[in-house]
Amino acid sequence: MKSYKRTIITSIVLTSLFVNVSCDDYLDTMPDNRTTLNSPKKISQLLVSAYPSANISVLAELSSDNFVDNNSPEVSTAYNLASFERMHDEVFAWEPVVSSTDDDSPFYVWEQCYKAIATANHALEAISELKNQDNTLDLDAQKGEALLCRAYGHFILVNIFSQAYKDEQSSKNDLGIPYITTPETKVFVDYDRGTVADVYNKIEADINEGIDLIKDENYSVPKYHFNSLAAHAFAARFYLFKRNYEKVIYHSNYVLGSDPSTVLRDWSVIYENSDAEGYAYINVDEPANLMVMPTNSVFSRVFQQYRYAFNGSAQAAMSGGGPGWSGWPPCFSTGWWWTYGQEFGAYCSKVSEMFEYTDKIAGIGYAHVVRTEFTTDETLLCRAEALLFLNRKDEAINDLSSWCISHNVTQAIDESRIKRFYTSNRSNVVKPLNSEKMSSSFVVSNDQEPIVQCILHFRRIESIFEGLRWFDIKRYGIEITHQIGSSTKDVLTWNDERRAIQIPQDVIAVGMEANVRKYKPSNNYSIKPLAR
Amino acid sequence: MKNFLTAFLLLLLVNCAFGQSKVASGIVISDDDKLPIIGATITVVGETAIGTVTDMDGKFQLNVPEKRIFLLVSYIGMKSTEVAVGSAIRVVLKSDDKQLGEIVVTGMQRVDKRLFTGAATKLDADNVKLDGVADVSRALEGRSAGVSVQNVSGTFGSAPKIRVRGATSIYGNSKPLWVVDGVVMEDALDISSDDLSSGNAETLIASSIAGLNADDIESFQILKDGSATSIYGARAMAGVIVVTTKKGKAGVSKISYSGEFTSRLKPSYSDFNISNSQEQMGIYKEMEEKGWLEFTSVAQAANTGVYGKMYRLIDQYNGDGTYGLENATVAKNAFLREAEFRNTDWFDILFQNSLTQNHAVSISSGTEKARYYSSISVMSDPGWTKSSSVSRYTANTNASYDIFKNFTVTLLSSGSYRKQRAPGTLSQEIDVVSGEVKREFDINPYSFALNTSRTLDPNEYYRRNYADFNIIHELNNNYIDLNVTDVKFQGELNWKIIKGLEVNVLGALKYQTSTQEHNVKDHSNQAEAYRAGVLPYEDATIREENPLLYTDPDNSEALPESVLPEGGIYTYTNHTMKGIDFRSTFNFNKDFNDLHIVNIFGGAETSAVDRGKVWFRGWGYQYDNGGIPFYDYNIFKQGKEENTDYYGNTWTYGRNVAFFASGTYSFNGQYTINATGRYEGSNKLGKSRSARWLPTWNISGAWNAHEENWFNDVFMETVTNATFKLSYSLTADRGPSFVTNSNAVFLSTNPWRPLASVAESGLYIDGLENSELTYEKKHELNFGADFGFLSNRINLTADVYFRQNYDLIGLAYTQGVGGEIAKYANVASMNSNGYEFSLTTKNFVSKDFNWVTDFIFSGAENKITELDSRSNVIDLISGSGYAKKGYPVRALFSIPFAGLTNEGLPTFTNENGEVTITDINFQEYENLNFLKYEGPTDPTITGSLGNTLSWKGFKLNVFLTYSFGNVVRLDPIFSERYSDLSSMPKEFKNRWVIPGDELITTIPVIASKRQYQNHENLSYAYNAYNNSTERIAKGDFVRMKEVSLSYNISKDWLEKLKVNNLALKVQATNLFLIYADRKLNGQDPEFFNSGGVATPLPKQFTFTISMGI
Repeated sequence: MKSYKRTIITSIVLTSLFVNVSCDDYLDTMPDNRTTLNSPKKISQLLVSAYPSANISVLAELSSDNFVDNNSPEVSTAYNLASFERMHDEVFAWEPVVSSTDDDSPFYVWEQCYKAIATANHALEAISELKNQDNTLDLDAQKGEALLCRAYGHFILVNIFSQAYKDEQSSKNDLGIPYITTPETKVFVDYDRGTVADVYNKIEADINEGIDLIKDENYSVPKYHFNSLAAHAFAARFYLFKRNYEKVIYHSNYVLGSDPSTVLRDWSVIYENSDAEGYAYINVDEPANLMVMPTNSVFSRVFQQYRYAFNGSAQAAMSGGGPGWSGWPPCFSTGWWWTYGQEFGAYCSKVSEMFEYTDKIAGIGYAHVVRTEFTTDETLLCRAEALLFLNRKDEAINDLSSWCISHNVTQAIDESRIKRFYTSNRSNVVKPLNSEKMSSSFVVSNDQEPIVQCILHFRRIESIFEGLRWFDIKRYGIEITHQIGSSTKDVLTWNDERRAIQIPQDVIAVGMEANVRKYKPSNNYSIKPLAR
Repeated sequence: MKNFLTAFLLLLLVNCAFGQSKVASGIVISDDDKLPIIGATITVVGETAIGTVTDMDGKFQLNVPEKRIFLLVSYIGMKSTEVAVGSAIRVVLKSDDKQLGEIVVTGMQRVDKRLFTGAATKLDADNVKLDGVADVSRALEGRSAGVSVQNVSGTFGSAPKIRVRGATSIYGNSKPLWVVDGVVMEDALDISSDDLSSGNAETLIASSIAGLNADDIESFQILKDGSATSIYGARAMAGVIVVTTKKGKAGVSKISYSGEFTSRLKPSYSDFNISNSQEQMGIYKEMEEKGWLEFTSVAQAANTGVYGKMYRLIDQYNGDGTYGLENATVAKNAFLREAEFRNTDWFDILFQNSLTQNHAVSISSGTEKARYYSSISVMSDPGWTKSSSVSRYTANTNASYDIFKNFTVTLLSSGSYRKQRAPGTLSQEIDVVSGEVKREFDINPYSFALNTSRTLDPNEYYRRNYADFNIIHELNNNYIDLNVTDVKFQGELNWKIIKGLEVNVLGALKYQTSTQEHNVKDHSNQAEAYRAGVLPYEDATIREENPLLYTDPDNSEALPESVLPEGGIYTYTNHTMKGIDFRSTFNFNKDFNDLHIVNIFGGAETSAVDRGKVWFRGWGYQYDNGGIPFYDYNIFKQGKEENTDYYGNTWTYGRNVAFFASGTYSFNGQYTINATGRYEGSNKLGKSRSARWLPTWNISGAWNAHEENWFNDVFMETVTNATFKLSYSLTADRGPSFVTNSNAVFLSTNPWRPLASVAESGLYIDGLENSELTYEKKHELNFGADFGFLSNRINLTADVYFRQNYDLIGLAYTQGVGGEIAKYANVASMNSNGYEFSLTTKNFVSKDFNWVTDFIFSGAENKITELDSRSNVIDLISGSGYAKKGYPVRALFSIPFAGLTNEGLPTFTNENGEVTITDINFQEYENLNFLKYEGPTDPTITGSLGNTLSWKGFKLNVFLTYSFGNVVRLDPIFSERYSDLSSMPKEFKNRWVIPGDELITTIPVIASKRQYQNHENLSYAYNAYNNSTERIAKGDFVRMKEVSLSYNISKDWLEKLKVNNLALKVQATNLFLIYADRKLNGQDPEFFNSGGVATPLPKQFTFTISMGI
């Protein structure tokens, strides 16, 4: 009896002591509702966030000639306006941004682009793991999207934080940005920036590997992803920047089809109010919109009577007529431009702020601006530029003419009109090109120049507040002047090192190679203390 | 049997050898638990050289010279007893209350105090219980050296901020682990210690022990150093508080009742510095002159008081040629004069002196074979403020049964249910755009009374969010109902296999569910605000301005419409926590030749904790119309467009496995060494196998000097005992709950899209992989000493410790190329050290009169030694402080104030060394040297002084607590513009009014509209002023925590009443602050006035009757 009892108790105790056999399985329970990338569908879902949520517009527009200082003599009345945030003073003066890590800052652009790249890399890693497990799985579409997202993230980074692409040889001397192809697994990793030429070659490889894998039917909302048209539009822009004009034509032909007029934006519709106009501009049913990209940005608040504005000479470049029209471009019908007071500058519905509430009752959340990242209208101008440099001038002018027609220009344009308009003394619009200084292979002949000026003007109109103007300024070595306050006039020369926006201070502090800066910051934007 | 035979033979032999001695034998038993006492000392009276100690079964055997007839049996913590020599003597030792407890309960193990090498404090619940304070954790304030209890909110259910030896982490909780009857109590929801002071509704379910009835608690054991806590190793970095509940005792049958009746004082304006309505009206007049209260701006403003009311009355056409108020100076002045003399006492209106009752009944009984304890309690609190009632019911049983003499089964179960009402409030949120912490809607009565103008008529409706607002109406129509159920089932088996070897198996299930229903009724201001402006007779400008209205983006001609045309808003939130624990341990005790004592303890445990949160928001619930929902489909369309969810369901799963062992060796009770190790695995850091396991350990030793032969000769009676302890340990914790990325973390998300038609669901990377992620760790070196002087009339315990916390989670700044520039990783470390003294003196001891003084003093300081802190100005100057290398964990800085201008505007020295009004960059993070370091926000010195005087049945207890060394940010009361709702403190009396005042005052001017327009960003100046060197106070205080007088009715009386004991007690709690910085002006240095559901601890009086039959 006694031993029986003892046996029972002993077995209870021993079982309980050694019940923890499969500890590691027990501890494999996920600590929360996180997921693993174990199906093609989940990889597709992950790629939803492989698009950067940063908006480059504030950095690029304020650096370019699309913005002026309302406090400078350039704008007739003397104001004492504050900038929206201190960062804007830094950006407009082409100085390193040290005062912000928030939306629109270099910090945010850097981090969000690399976050998107990391997302793409995780997707690619998961694709190869799934493929290893089951070779029959079809993951090509996901792979294509991931490669394009990776290429696109690097394309933005290299164009913001490095010098423009010059040519294969010269760009080997320019500092690039790290090109990342695997997920990071450690806290501190040191990266090499490589060269602009490297980065461009890797982007090219990713585009070419991915572009034909894309399947539009794989997307539930194709226009928020790299659908095949968007991918080709990206390729067209990329090759334009790389000056591989044949490829530009190949890819833009894919986008534009045989009759571009059917896919260009219908600018003839007039909207009731700015909200409706804002929503219409980003509409996915609009054939001109190839890829729409929501971003976290407070860009639209910049226009509310602050120091830097679309005003003065910047506005004059827009309102000063064109080869087939006078005044504002006819596409921007009444109601397109808005203002918080005419003297403070204008803005348009493209930059409508849309608000996401994390808590509606508490009234807080995130400010968004939606970018129409790729449009047929812009791809058309890419093609025009490529055609021109392939000495297919007539076709180029034909494209420019299509652009004019779709943009409500009633007067037909031709080469002579273009030459007449862009050779006259219009300093707001026509700025000397220094492309030949950047690369001996980048020659713009006297015959081509007015047409290039026309293309650049059209691009400036087309991409206003989207940041592409800054890239064009960089590509052609266009020198621009910023009048800062009452006394400073700062010129950005064609080879100015400040054309590569300084990488975030936080990143430099932990050892990333900074962009070279010879000058000490002038600090001429600081607000002077008041007398007591 | 064989042993017995050997012993018997030996015995015979001994008898033969020494004819002149006789053998005494027997067993020593404790009166408390009827268990044998191990290591009790037996000496022969008159022959101090002859003696022995009892063995593991409490038995002893001793040769006694023939002539001696008495033995002295003694044991630390027990009253020594003389017994006559004999065989098989049964000696029962009674506990000596005046001595410290003899057993240290670690929650897993009961350790003989002489063999215990760690720093721990045992507190008897009877001695520390605060009558009328239902949450037992608050009773620990000032009771143990090194333990600080900060009552950041006094509302029932919210947890105080408890620190054992200060902070142990930078981003982690530093919360001690609570262990009740051997089972770790998990918090119902993982709430950080900073969030405890947030005032959010969640804080009401933050305390894991709010369901414990104070009357059920036997004792607390606070484990402080690594030696004491090492058995919990990887969870014990911040200390352990072990709670033991009452059990039945063999031979004692008892029914007890205790009733507490508590009344709280309403706060009074005399304690605060708030302007009365006359002074307030004077300020409004000045604001009016300065252009702030103009008709056009105020009549249509979202939030207005007296002036807004006046302007709207002027605008209100009665239909018979008259208006609500005649637009004439006389009529207006009369209207304003009425407000000027109103002097509304908001405290009187919103608070009540209601009576809180707590009744507890327990029965307990026991025989040799079985024991039980069972109790029930009811607590009813009608509410100190309006809309804040609580009732709580608890039940607790503890029964054990000896199936065999060496095999015991124990069953414990406890349950509690709580129903609570709190004023409707929204959670504090951080505005991601401005970084400002704010609460959009708040009707907390305490902060309302402090912040609302006394010129308002409490029966009148004013305007908030464009809709009518009256605080009493709102409190009645906008409240949170909370229902909390908490149960625990626990079973234990205890088997003494052979002599000295004991095995214990324990299993427990805990379940807590709390539902939180936020009722925003049909006619509450919060609901009405959603329809303000849409009705045709309303001001059309409101329709344009009201941000709560909805304009359909798909309809280009849409006007703003209400998405809540009918009804109110019903928000339901349910938190559940399910925990399962399983543990088996063995304990082996053996002594060799009465000289070598060995104890080996070991075991394994597993635990699982699942926490869930489910919530939904029901729009258009018609409270007044039979509870039928009437919702507008646009609410869902809008939600989709703005990416706002209307329901959610989130879960976390915790899994732990641990193996542990501890070995103790003691030589003759004089020298003890101990080594403890634990190997713990957790899923908390993610699925990576490299991160999940962690070994922790401790080595320690103790020297009981008083056991040495020479001790008595040297010190005679002056020093009666002296123990010295030393320990060195590694303990750990898992770091903040949001850092779990040992593998990359993928979560699902609904990325924002401008229109519902293009929405899609996705995944995103929540955290990049950190393959090096590990636990936060702590090395601790502890020296401890216990002394007893003059026959233990004076007892002193002292500890000094040095800690190195490393692998702490901090922000790491990286190159960002992986996708995150700032990551949380194990990159920080800090040093801390401190000292602790507890001194108990029996100043006067006699039969009838006793006077005992307890003095507790402890100091703790910490400094961050490693952290790449990129804090910016706003972080460093905000109330709770921020982490910065070279400073304490929570360090507070100020913007240097540089005087007022000749316009009365404040100036400061900025980062460039310039004196400025508005050029303060709150985001600056490079050049921070211009900020003035004020001090830590956690106190560095805490303690208490208690005096207990007893005379016959009377006992007077006066208990003071104190806290020093921290700084407090004064409430942010200054602003670049005020409204006619604002209430100003009396500081405003000394404000700058005319040029020249800047020489005599530092209180800035009420800015005129012109100044406001001239100075871009004038708000920066006033915001800087609120966070300047002018607006800081010391957090030092000495508080009269408790004064109580109790009377135990004498036995003679009781016999007539047929009761065993009857005691009456009157107690005053939180009476007043004896000392506090004068700059605080009534602001409680402990309390964070964060609004929401937070209220300070009230001043209260409790009458208690306790009775046992």
